[in-house]
Amino acid sequence: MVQSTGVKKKFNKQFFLNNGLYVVMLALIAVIAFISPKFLSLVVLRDILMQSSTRIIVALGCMFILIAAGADLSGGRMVGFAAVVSGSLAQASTYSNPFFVNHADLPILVPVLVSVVVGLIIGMMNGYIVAKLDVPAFIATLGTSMFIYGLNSLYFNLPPNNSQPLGGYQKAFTELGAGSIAGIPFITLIALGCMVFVFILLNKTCLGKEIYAVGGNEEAAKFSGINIFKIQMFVYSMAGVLYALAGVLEAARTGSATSNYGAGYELDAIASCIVGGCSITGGVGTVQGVFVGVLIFNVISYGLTFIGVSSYWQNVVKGIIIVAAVAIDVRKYRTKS
Amino acid sequence: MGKSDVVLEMRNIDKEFPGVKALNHVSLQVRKGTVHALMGENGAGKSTLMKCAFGIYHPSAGEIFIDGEKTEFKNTRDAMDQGISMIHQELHPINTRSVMENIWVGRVPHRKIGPIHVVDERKMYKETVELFKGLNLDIDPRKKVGELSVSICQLLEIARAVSYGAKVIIMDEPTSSLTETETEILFAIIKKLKVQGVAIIYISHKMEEILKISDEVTIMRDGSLVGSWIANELTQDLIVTRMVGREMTQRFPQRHNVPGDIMLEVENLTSVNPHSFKGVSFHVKKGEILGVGGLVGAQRTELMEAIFGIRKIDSGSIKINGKQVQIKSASDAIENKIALLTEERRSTGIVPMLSVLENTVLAKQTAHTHKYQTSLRLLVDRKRADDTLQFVDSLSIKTPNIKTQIQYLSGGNQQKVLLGRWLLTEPEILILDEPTRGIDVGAKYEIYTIMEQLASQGKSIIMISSEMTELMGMSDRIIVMCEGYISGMMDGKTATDEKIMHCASSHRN
Amino acid sequence: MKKLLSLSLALLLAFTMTACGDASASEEAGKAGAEEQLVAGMVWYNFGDTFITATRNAVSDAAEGGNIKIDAADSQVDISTQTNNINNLLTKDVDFLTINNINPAGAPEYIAKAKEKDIPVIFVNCDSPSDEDLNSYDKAFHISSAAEQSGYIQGDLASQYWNENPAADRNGNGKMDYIMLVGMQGNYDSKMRTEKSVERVIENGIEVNLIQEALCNWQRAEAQNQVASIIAARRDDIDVIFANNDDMALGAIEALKASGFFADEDSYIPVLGVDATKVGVEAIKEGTLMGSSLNNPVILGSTVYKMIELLSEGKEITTETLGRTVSEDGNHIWLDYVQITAENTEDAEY
Repeated sequence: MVQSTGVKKKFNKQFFLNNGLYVVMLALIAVIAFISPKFLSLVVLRDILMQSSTRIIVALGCMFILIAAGADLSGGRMVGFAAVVSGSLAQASTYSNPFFVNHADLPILVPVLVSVVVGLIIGMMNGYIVAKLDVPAFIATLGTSMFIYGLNSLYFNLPPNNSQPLGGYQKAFTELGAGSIAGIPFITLIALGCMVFVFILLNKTCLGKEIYAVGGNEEAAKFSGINIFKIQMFVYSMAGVLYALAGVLEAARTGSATSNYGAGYELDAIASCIVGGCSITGGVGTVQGVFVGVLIFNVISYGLTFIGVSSYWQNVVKGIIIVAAVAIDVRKYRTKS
Repeated sequence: MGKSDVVLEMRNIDKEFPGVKALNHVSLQVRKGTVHALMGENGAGKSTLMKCAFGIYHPSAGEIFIDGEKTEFKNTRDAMDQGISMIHQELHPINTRSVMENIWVGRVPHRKIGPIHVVDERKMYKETVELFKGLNLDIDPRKKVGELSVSICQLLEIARAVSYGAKVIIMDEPTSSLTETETEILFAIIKKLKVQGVAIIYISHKMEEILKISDEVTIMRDGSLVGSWIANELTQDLIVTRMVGREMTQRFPQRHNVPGDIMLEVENLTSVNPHSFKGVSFHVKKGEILGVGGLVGAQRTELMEAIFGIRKIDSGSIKINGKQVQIKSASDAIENKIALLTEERRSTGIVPMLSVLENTVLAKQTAHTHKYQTSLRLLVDRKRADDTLQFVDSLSIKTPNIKTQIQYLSGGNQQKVLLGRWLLTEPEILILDEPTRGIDVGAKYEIYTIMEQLASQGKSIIMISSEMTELMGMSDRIIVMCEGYISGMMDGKTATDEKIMHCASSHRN
Repeated sequence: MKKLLSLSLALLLAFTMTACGDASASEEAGKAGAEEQLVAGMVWYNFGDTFITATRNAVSDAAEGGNIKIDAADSQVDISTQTNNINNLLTKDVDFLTINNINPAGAPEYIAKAKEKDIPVIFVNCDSPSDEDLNSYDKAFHISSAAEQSGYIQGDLASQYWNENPAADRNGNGKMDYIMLVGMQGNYDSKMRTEKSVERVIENGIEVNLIQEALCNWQRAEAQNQVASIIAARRDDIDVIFANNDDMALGAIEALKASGFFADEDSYIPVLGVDATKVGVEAIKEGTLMGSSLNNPVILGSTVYKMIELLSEGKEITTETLGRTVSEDGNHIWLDYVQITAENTEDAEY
């Protein structure tokens, strides 16, 4: 009896802890809108969603890793690699500074698929290093991130390109990044699709449940017959695919690509996930939470620029939010003493 | 015993947490040079009361007296300064530092050379040796704590409490990880402390222990005091009745199971690890409960984990129903209808932040995914909930609902959820490793009942237990292990403490 | 599953190796030369930087067939890494040291170290060490584009557009309302371009008003995001966008396009970059990027190599021997920026 009321109370508190995130976001929007009422417009909403789209996809990849109690620092460089690979394959044959001389216009599915496959391979590599070679995930992915960046720079520097920013994409590819249907940008739709896919995978499939179990208590999962290796391989591969997809869309959206694309995205993604309620110790994380986490960061950077606040302040605010979110997170999952 | 003997008195203590009254007018008098047992089921408020006595919690109402003087504890440091020490259930020694540094941490003997405090190693060593001598402890003060066993660490904690000059030492389940011999060492130390006038507050679920060493017993239930009695006036049954608040006539259920054909046969099983089990052969019959006794370190858990495919085997064979099987992983074991309820509920059992539901279906979902899936390979939540509810019902698991995170359930209920997890895989062979450790009496009885029912249904049950009464009370047959070997086998009905202990230590020397 | 995995890993490795092989072939070629090879240690601030990579490529092209081996190190935009790189190269007893310095305060120390080893030291494409420091050692040189020029070019182009198009003042307040996209805080180029562009506009007698300064870390995506936000907030006030490099300028153009600019002549907004990258020049041809300026990495790279070659032959560096303007005291070499607009895009070829 005593215990069950205790549980209930804990839930009330947890309810507030969980929803603190929404409160923070609404407060942010309210403050910005108070200073500049124009902020509450469809254009702004569309811009923020569009800018969040690629970040959401990266963060979803990162979420898989965090739920499985792993770590992944290779996300940003993977985005960059995928951006350059897809960019190099998506150029129009008429472009005057092509990456590949004398190529025909490839169907845009080709750059997308090639990049995604590259992401998959690198993701599998991460998974293998972590799960089979037992290298701590943090170190393993730090290593692959350097490795990927190096590969990317080498590829990007191939003559005749010699490290020039890529450009001259086929119309269809640019359209993928900049076009919209009924006012909703394609890339936002793709991000939405990814969210639905990940949501179903995590909540409605056995595999998803196993990922949560492995992250929540790897030993218990092992004793319950779950193949830890398989799960680790899966989460890192999945993350690799999502990073690569984000990279492709980033190239399409900006109409360019350089080997520096994606730099630092992995940390932004981790921050968004944590702010969105993923636990640093694994086993916890929701698609909705991560979505709001990403949105918060984009509302901050977009909103503060919108009201003319200096870029330096944006980082101050972001930093405070990350620390506050983790402080809440720690309390949320603190077990009864 | 006069009033003047009372060293610690807690009077009408209330403790409220938001929305919960954890303690309701609880009073306690602890006398100098006595062992005062504090008993009650999990959640009765024992630990909360002790946390109030040790300055971890501040009582919402009530008074605390030390040697008749009213006092208050600002924090644990304050409580320690006033002569209260507490030895926790779970220890947190600094494994990489020496025994003596662990004892004196925070107040290391030092000399001042100019502005610099220099550790006086010699003085520290000398004082540690003296301290250990007073307690009959034979531990090298210079050894790293990480190299010592858990039980020795427990004794170190006690030595540390003594070194603070404690008048009252609170021991919360001190024997939960100790073997019988280690327990004896602990009891000898307690006796010495009593002579020195130290009062001990002793929390334990083990009734024999309580009756053996305590002078007085206080029983709590649901945050309230049931009463305090002189230990001599109590019997196990009386204690149980008062703890549970209802009659408990038997500690073990009547058994009706009839052992049949051989189900599992293990031959000459040897671990790849030379320090683990060697040449182990035994069998379990259908409908039989096989007890596995032995001391901590006898490699019982390792053996069972090897049968379950978690640990590697060097040689030997495992037969199920007469057919040789290869088990290389837990999923192989589950496929062969083996279940393993592990000893360490927290580290290898529950997934704390997942719900009761997710924890219950975990193994079945992995092994028999198709039973929960639609043709699109999506999970059907209703089927999973039905399975869970079935066991919440049949095992009477107390939980607000099946979406509650398992970490908020009591130990006994967590254990029942885990049992449900394994029963869902429809096992024929159940290996239960210390199934009732850290569980209160009521829940223990329920688990025994379930074991009996399963055996009656023809399942084979292997139960590792370090509790003699449990081994003898529940097993049809008992095998005893010592240092990786099977050192004895006996009938459950004719087994005695002495026989088991003899086998458990027969490979020693 | 396992086989598939090892296969894919093997493929990836193979790919890596061939990729490495291709790219390093040119550098390797030089190594196989004569026994008595001189080594030039080169420290670059960031291998990932487009301009630096182009300069490095130009150096290796120039070194091909020559007798001097290049040992290049990447400081990864980090001062302590740069210091380590310099120390490592000095320990390796290189015969020349070039530093693409990101730590101006460290310059005197670097000169002293080179002096100790008695090897020439050349500061490349960075803030100049003080004349006192440069003069303290006769083998210390500084070669760089005149960073302020790139700012002046932007300022002149903006002024010209402003004076020729009455509609340029989009909100009619008589002031040039501009957005400044900043590359990197504390970076010398970034600072010069930010300051000098606007200074020149004011010198040309035009009043200015800063709408917003946005720090975009040289990144296209970052600039695109921030400009999108500024457009949403102050769409009708923006007259000109100055960007410290082409990548950011193109990001701004992308954002402008997305919100309906560059659809026709009336929705044109002058955007100015620096670097004249290939994509930048494409945008100039397309009519979106108004202008850029070129600090030709090929000229920089080949001139650096030429300097090393001259020094190795024991010759003096003068305007005549080098073919570039050398300052009177003989230790500064200033390379000019070239203005690139729709009229002269062919000048951006290198």
